[in-house]
Formats: sequence, C-alpha cells, structure tokens
Amino acid sequence: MSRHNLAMRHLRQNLAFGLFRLIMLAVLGALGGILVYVFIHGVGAISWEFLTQPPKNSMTAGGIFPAIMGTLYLTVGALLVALPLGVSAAIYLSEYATEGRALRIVRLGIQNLAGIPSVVFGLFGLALFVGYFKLGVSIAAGSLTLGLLILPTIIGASEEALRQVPGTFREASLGLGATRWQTIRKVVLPAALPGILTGSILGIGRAAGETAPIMFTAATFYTMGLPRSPLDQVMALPYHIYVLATAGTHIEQTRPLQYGTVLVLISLVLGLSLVAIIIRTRMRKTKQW
Amino acid sequence: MVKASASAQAPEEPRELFRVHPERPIIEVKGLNFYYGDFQALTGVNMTVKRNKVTALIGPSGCGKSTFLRLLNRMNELIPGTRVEGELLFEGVNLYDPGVDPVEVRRRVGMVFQKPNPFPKTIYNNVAYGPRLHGLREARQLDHMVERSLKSAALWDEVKDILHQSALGLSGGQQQRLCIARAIAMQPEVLLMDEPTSALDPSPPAASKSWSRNSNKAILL
Repeated sequence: MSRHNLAMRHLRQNLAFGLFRLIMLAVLGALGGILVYVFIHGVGAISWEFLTQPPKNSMTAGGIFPAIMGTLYLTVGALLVALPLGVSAAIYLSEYATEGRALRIVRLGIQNLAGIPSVVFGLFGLALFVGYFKLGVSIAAGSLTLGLLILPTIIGASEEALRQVPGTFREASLGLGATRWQTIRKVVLPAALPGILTGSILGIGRAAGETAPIMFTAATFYTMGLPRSPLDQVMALPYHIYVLATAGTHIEQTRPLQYGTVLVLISLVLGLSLVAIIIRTRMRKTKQW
Repeated sequence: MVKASASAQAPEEPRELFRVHPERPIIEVKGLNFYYGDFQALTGVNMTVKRNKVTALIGPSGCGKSTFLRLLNRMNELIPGTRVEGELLFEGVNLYDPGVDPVEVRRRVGMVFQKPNPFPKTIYNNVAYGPRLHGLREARQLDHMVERSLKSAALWDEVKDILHQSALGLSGGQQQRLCIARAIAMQPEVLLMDEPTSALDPSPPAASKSWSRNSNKAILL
C-alpha cells in the first residue's frame, strides 16, 4: 500500500464519520428542538393547581389532574394486560416452539400487528371490549385496547431478550436435572428481565401517548373527579390535548394549557421510563455475563 | 487411568426404574451409533463403566468424546435432528427407552461442561440450584450441602467469605470448580466431566478425590 493510498483512505473515513456525526446531530437537534419548544411554551402553565385540580370554566382554567391520573391508570392497565400475555408468547416462541412454517406465520402475524394503525385498534376495542364484552367506555376497555396495541412491542423485545440468554445457561440447568419450565423460570427469565423491561419502556411510551385507541374505548371529555372503578370513563392526557386543540370553543385561550399538558405528558412518559430504567440498571449490576 | 475410590456404602433405597445391583457395571454401552442429521458421529461404541471408579476417555479432538458423554445424560437430544441407535444401559435400564424421563436421568448422571458455565447468580445460589430444584428448602440443610460440595470441589476456602457475591466475579478456574461443586451438590450417581482441566488450575482428580461416595465418575481428558 502506498502512502498516498493510505492518506486517501483516512480522508474517506473522516468524510464518512463526519457525515454520520452530522446526521446524528440533526436527529438530536430535532428531538431537542421539540422538547425545548414544548418546554418554553408549556412551563408557564405548570403550577401546583394545574397538576392537582380538575379543569374549570369550560377547560380555560384549572388543572389536568384527572387526565394525569387517567393516563397513569390506562398505561399501568395496558402493561398489566400486555406484559403477562407478551412475555408468555415470547417464552413460547423462543423456548418451546420449533422453527418451521407455522412459527414463521405466527411471527409474521405479530409483526403485522405492530404495523396496524392505532385507530384500527381503537375501533376494534370499541367493537369487542366496549360492545361485545359490554365493558362500556371504561378504563378496562381502554387498557385492554392499549394492551393489544403494545403487545407486539413487548413480544418482540421479550423474545429478543430471551434469545440473548446464552444457551450454556439452559444447558447447565437442564444438565442438573431441571425441567424446561424450571430452567425458564429460574435461569432464563431472570437473565432476560432487563431486556424485557426495555420492551416495557417502549410500551409505556406508546400506551401513554396514543389518542386514537382510547378515543372510543376509555377517554372522556371531562370528569369532575377521579374514576371509582375500572368500569368508569377517564380523562387522559393525549385525548385532553386533542380536545383542547381541536374541539374546544376557546382554542386560542387554552393554547398555554395545551402546551402545559403536552409537557406533563412528556414528563410522565419520561418519568415512567426512568423508573423502568432504574430497575433495569439495578438488575444488570448483578446479572452480567 | 483407573482409580478406585473407597466406598462400601449400602445401595440407596430402590427406585422403581434404576435398581442398583452392586455386581453389575453401572453403565454398559452396546453397539451405539449416533447421528447429527445425516452425519454419523459415533459408530459401534461398546464399553462398560465400572462402579466406584474414575474412567477416562482419551482421543484426538473431534473424535466424539463430548458427543458420547452427552449421550449418557441425554443432553444431545436437545439438539434437533439427532438420532441414537443401540443400547445405553444405566443400572441395567436403557436410557433411551420411551418410559425413561430425561430429567430423571440428568439428576442421576451429573455433568460438568467443557467451558465453565455458572449461572449469573451468587456462588451460594449456584451450588444450591440443584438441591432446590428437587425440593430442598430448609436453610440449614442447604448451607450444609453448599459447604460440603464446595469443599469437595476444593473451592470452599477461597469463597467461604464471598458466598453471596456473584459467581461471575470468580476466575475461570474457580468458576469451573464451582460448576463441579454445583454438579456434586446433586449427589449424582455418575459424574460426567467434559475436559474439565481445560479451564481448571489444580488437577481435577485432586478436586474430586475428596468426593468419593458410592458414585462413579467418568472423567474425560
């Protein structure tokens, strides 16, 4: 290799790295831009009253407390639905099912589920949970709908996490006379938990932020207080934002409240994710290989 | 390389399936063929393994030693597309009879793998894993079992103060001895060791010499 050639190669490398850096900065810039914009416009609306009171005067004043709690209920509810189902499905797919045409079709189905528009989930939830199962427009119906929505995410992340667990762990456990189920429960699942939590984090973000699936199944325009049972309707942050921005009679007046609500929603999602991340980091400290 | 180990203990309580007949070899292999798909890995293996002895298998790399060992506790059937022909008698029962539960086989025929593979758990929980699987819950019994197994594997002195730290912090050689202790804690009747020295600092016979119950070890070097 001549010296010139080497210089050229270094130049090309620097060009490539420079390009990647630029693209990364653009992506970060867009994200940062949104966050800063929302923060600047929304921070003025944030107050103790805003966070702890129901709306007043046709939504032009007061707070969003019922919507915060509603979104919390719906998100936790969706996780309660999707985690057991999703992790079980992932265990089946990665630990029990044998590779073949049937499994490929199942996987394809799950991937397609992830691509279905959320409004379709909303209508499906309306037909099945609200209508057929007679849950009405309620936290239960909304949680089930959101749970279905994030199911592919949870299955995908959990299956990936289970696959990452070294085969030697399974071998060691089976070699000690463990059944497959004992091996999964005591060795594979604990080792895969951090990855499963990553999937949950993505699911939390999605479940908390979606509007269309809860529009027909759980959310309501306005409630005075908090829901008393899972069969009650709730206010929810994304739906509240939608209502303030489109359906209100005082759209201009409520603009600061809209930004405030957006800021609260983003913070809530970040907060929930942070909890999951902290748990995951704790787990990773003891489980590494 | 055959070594006798002192033990004249009475046979265990008779199980339905694997009855101990002290005069009979613990393992008899007759006309064993084994295939990975179309590839025949073992051809016509005949051998007997005596009770209360250390038996060593010697051969060049890739000749099928590991494959053979893994047949003795039915680990190979976890690999799709494998097939066994011939007889593999353990206490007179063909291990591959339809009525034989592989989980039961693996409880009685323990295995230490070529590479150390401790669980990402504490040292204590690694050793206690097997006994717990089979229902041992009582803390004092578990403590006792863990201590005895670690002593047998010549690891106790090094880890007795860090039992509740992660096993992954141990050196490769210590991890391998931990895996030996983990296998011993199951009190298997046969202990298979697949080239355990490749990751072991002191010699494995020294480590396992102290473990000389009415058991029989096939050590593969």
